[in-house]
Amino acid sequence: MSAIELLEKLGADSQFDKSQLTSEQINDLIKLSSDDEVVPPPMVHDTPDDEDEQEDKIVQ
Amino acid sequence: MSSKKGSIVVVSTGMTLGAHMTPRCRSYIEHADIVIGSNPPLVEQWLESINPNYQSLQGLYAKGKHRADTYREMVDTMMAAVREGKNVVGAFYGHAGVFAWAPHRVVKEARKEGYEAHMEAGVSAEDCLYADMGIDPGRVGSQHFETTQLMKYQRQIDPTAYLILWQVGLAGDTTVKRFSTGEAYRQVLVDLLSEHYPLEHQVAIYECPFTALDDMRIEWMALKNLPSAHVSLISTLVVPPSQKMVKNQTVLDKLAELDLQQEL
Repeated sequence: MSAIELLEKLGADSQFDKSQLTSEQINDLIKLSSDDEVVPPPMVHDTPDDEDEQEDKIVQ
Repeated sequence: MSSKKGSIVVVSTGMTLGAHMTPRCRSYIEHADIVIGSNPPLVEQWLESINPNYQSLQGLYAKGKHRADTYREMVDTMMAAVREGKNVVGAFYGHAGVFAWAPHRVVKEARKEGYEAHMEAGVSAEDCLYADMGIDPGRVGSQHFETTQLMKYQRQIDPTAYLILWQVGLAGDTTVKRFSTGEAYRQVLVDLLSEHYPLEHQVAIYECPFTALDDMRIEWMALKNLPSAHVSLISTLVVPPSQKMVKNQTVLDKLAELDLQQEL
């Protein structure tokens, strides 16, 4: 099982026993996690564009 | 049903890897001609393990680049694949339609051009926040704002309800080009909030875990200490109510009158 599959299993399986992880698997997971970085969500927080405002039925 | 070749389904991958994606979203990913998405690197690796034909949109972000341009390019990238006749899946973390412009826009544009397009719901950071912090938004109500939008516009804050401010790490970024602001910007936010809440009012920074190995973060502090707190792109500010709800006697009297009439 690859490290990413293991991470998926950890997230999905509530009964997964983490104590069964080998030290090699733990090291792989730690390396995976340390590689991760936060990404901004794809949203605009500035003034809605004209089309959005039309859909919102905004009365000026 | 559209007969035009090419389609797009925007799916939500949830917040915690492996824990939140619905079977239906996974099925769409498995069967897509191409999966195009914007997700944390680990989630992108995971999606690639489900469908090797995964294309990341993360390279479209750049410091100093207006994020509206980045989001427009995300839509254009997905639409180009749809126009090639491919069954495209757009994959976005959390709930694809919550605090996300590009996923909504691509569905809208695809439909306008006659392609089949829809969005699949998912688990957002908001959903996780309610579970992790034990908040029921129906108890006293809950207001949600993107932090900078709250700061830029004259909004009505209700201190009898929860106030949830998203993207507090970008508080006051009017350039839409930065990935963080700083203490001075959060101080302006505190000044604004102090018009409605005491400076000693306890607020919390919440962060949802991206993997089962991560811990959630719930850090309580006085409102006045928010500027010096550690915040990131995934930090959310939770402001509990500071006042009790006040009964609207005028409406209650009207309702009582109606009740009396209906008993007659």
